[in-house]
Amino acid sequence: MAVKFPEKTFAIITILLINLCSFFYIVSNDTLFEVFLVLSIITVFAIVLRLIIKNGFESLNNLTLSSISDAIKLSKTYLRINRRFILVASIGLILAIGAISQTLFYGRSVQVQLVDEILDNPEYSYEPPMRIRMDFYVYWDDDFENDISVLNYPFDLNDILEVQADVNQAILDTEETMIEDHIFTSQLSIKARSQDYYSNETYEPYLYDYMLVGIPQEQFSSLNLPIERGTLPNSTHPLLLIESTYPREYYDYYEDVEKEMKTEIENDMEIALFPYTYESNLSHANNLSISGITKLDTKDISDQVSQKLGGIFTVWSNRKVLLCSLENMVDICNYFNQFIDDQEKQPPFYSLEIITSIFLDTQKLDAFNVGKFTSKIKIIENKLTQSLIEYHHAYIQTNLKEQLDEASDQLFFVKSMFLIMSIPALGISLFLVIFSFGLIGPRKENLVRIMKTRGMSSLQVLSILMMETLISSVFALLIGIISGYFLAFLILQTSSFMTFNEDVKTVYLMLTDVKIIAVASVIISFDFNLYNAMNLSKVNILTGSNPSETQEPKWQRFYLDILFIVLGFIGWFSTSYLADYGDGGFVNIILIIAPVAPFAFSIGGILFVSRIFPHIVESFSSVLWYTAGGLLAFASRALVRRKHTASRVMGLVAISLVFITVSAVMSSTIENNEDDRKLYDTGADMRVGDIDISNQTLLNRFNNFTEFSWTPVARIWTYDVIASRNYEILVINSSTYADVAFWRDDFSEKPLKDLMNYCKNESVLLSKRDLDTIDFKLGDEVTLSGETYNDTTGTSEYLRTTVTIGETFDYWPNFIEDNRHDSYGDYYRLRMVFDLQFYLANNVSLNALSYSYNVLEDGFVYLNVKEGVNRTLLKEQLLIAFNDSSLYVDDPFAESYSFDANVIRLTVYSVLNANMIVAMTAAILALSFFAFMVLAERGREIGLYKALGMTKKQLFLVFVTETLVILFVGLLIGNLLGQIVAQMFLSYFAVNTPIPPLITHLPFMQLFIINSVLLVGALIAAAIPALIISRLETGKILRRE
Amino acid sequence: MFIEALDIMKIYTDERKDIKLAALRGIELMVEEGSLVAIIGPSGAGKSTLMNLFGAIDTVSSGYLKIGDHVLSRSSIPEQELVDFRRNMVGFLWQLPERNLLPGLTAEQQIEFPMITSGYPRELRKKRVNELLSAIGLKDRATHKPGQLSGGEAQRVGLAVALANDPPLILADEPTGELDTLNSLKIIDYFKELNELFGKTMVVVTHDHRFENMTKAAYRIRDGQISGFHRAIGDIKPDSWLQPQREELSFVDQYNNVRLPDELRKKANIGKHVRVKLNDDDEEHPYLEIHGVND
Repeated sequence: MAVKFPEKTFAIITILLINLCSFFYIVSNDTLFEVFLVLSIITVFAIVLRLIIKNGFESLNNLTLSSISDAIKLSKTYLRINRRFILVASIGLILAIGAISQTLFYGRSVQVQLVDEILDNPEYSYEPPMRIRMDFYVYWDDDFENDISVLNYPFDLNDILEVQADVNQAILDTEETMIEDHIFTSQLSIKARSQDYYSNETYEPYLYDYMLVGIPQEQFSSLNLPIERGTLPNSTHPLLLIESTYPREYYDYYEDVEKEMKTEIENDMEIALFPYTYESNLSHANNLSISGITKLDTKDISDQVSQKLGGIFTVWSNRKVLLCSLENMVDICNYFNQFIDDQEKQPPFYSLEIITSIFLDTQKLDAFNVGKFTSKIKIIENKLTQSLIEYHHAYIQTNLKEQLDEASDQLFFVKSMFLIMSIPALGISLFLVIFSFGLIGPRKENLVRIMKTRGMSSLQVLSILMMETLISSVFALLIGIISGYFLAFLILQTSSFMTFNEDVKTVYLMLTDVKIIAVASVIISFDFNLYNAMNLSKVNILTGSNPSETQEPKWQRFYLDILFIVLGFIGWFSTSYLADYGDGGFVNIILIIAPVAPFAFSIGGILFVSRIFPHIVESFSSVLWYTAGGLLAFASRALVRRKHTASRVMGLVAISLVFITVSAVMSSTIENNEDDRKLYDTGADMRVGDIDISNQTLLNRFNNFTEFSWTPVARIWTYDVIASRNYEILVINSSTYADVAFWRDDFSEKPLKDLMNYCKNESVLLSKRDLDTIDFKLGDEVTLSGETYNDTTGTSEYLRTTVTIGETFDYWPNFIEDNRHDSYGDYYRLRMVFDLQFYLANNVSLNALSYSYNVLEDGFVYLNVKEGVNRTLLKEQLLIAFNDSSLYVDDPFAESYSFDANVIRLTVYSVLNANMIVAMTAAILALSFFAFMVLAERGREIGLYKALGMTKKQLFLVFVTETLVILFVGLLIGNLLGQIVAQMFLSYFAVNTPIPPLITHLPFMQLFIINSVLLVGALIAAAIPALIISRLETGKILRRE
Repeated sequence: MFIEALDIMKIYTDERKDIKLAALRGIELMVEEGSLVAIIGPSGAGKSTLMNLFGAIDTVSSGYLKIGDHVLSRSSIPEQELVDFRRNMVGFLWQLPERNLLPGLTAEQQIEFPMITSGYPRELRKKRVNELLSAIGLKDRATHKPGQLSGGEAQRVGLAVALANDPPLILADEPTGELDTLNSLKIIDYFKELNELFGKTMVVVTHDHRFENMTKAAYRIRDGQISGFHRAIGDIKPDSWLQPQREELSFVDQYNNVRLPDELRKKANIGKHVRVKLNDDDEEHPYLEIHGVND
């Protein structure tokens, strides 16, 4: 007897399994769950196929190839029937996937930016995140021969190999996958130096300072990395040569010596450069010999390489990376031996420093694994430290942990922020998913009825619907990922409301992210569709013809809304409790609940309003009907008939607007509050004080400056003139202190007039300090003073000359002959500075119009700086103007400037921007959706209107009015609720920073623009279907129905 | 008998008004295999309800209903049996083309669809589609979609779809309701032709009185009851649908209730009660005399 295969149970279990696996996969990102997930999906797919094939409860023997093709054909047929709805049903899903993928792509890009920023931060001296350094000392001296055993760590190539092997083994032991997952590459750098033991004078031959072996992560897996398994690279390995930086303490110590040595040592390393290809056999045809590599800077090499290889080299991150190969790594060691031999008569102490660096693949770091990773690094460090010091005199240098800790904190903040703020986008999308189901449901039901009449079983219907789900999920996934990518790109380019960044930032697309998106879309799509499909498959053939509509009691319909609203209010009030009562156990609980409150309140509010909306419209239309009549009354009556759809659309518009308003209010409040806080702390933008002079003196000085009306200032100087006459002219805009022009030219051909014209004002002002203010006009003669410097004698000579403003500047002092000669032949060295300003204004270009000031009792002068003024320059100029060492200028806003450029700040604004964009799109989509559904569903009604004699214009107006009523109510409620919800959010944020009080800044202009955009967008979205409707022929409509 | 319906009751619950309505009250009907039967009655008479019961779309409230070997009046019928019944026993043709045909499919695909559902092999499907298309005379319209077919053509395709799975019973609910006279007559002709060609039992529910002359037997249904029977005297000639020799009979159910036609009752001035008298003057042909009583 054939045993029945319990498909239904099995399918439900498998779908549950999919959900669980998806959840754990997203949370843990573990491969195991991925495998499970794929298996479950395949199982579900197989069951679905099997169910479609199934013709009665027969055994599995029936499964043939043709029956599978039949099953696919049946699904295909259904899809063909249903094709018009697929796009509609997918819109919500597409938006949801778009929102998720946008979050992930954007988050990833910000993360890469952030980690790069941290790793590139000059405050952290180690460029590579982790270095294992190893020093070998070789010295021979007769006197110290006996002590060799104490100090000598004889140089041996095997030691290097051993250390390499040790390092790699330690990493492998810790976790093998870590290398594959996170470690970007490891490098080897070898540096030799000699040292005079007696005089303690160090010579560093600057042998090699090449970071070797670095393969961009894309190729990481496809190549057998030479150092990975503890072997040295040979000539067949493609290697990266990168410019190295030293650990800070070493750099300081050897800085001076290095400068000397660099030029002295002739270094004829042969470097073979290879174009990087995916093929393993590298051609030697493109060999490029570079002699004296130490004399070339990276840019030169880079240019040469790109010339030779046609630009086929990879730039990793923003570090300068060149693709090349060192002929033979072992030669370095030989070279060192050779070097020691050659230098026999030189200072007897030699050392070889070998540095192995481990890089990170920053793209793979994220807020959640960075902590895990740092702890692993710590383990490696501990493991290595002991053995290395003991056996190889090697130790680890790393501040990676600190760097990553910082990265981790910031990343966590950014991610949480983004996750919280992407909730609206997701919420709206899911609302749209459900909404579209509601609209398409009845049509699908009809199809199912026909199919059932033709002998389809419920299971077959379910399976076909599931198949449709699969296909539409793939469709939505593709479009969703593409749209998410573009959204992320768009958001990444914005730094503030409707402001785009100057430099284009790239969006990082990673396979892991795409996988997560796919998994998330499977969850959303399956779960939503499954419920829907189950209901649809159980549709009774007769249901449509025999309606049995039951209504729930009224109290049941409202309890959810009330619950949400109450929850919201409790959360809101509890935050005010927090502000009053500080901290404690109870407060912690509130702190967790409070952030949820605004969401709960907005959802509850919208639900409630959507429910009462039909009643409002109904009474409104009744009033209109009996008083004014006309089109509006008619349109509102029509709206009453469609109240369920209308209230949903209204809800969507309102909820979009809530989130838009919240985003706008929050971004403007955050921005303004930052300034508020600074002002609150200091009372002014800048604070100037002087301990040596009295209040009054300081104030008098300011009064003196205030009398001026300052003008552009030019600063002219010559520099290191070697047989040519070069000038640099810097022009400063006096009102903003920004650099407006910069000349670097041979001045003999450029009249000074150009400069003056550029400055607009034809006058240059002198310092008040000299008390003889001279106002230059064109044609005025000015005496310039300068200084020539004689390199040979080391003496300087002061010069004076007269120039005419507006005329060619043709003064040229006599050159003093320089005794030095080089390959250029004889040349003169003249160092001359004409500082026009120095003479004219004593370098002061303080513009009193750029600030206002007042004095408080504490003896400081408080400056309120005008908008657009460069504070850094103002501060500098203040210090110069007063020419007083005891004066100090306090500029708290400097901090906020660094915040301005901060990745986190940009992220916060971008996220808020993203919300606005997504919410706006969703609202417009929903409205056009409604308008098109009108077109599809109300054919008979339109026909009737036409038959009753409505003109095209009237019909058009009726339908546009309907949409507009929805839009206006949505906008009104959305704006109002948005303000409340924004207040809720802000009151939560204000809990820990009550001083200065958080003042809400309403961005009226922004909100006005947004509302207008929505209005125009929605009007267009509504007008097109209305136009189509009004042009339909009556006969056609009636026949179609 | 292919269809045996004895004292069928169908009661609906109108939840809004919270009352129960009897759509059918004691239907008695016998249909022979291979016959073409029309059930004619005004709207609201319970025609469609009867059709749904025959098609196992709905279940009877009481009574006995047997179609072929399936007893459909059982209190619980497994879902799978119902699906099998709809697949293999019965083909539907409804009044509206959009209830018969799936949007977006060509005529060919429409006909093939039920066969894929039932899992027929491909060769058989192709063969049968061709056969049916030529039978309804729409071979040249095979690749047309519902929107491109005229009302009559759509109905003919619907008929082909109903026949696709080769069911012994075809149920048609107002097949000519939406059609003009010419097309209606064509459809009626097709019913007759296909009935002869495939030998199916066909039950046509309609208010179109032209059907009564076309079939051997036509039941009249009114207020949920079979009120009369219209039949041909002698054989129907296949080349003509005009048959002058026909008679109208009243129906007597198993509980001895007689249903009188309205006009006769009015003409005979019959109120609430009648006086029934057996006239057996002619012993070979006794008959009942019915006299109205003036109350």
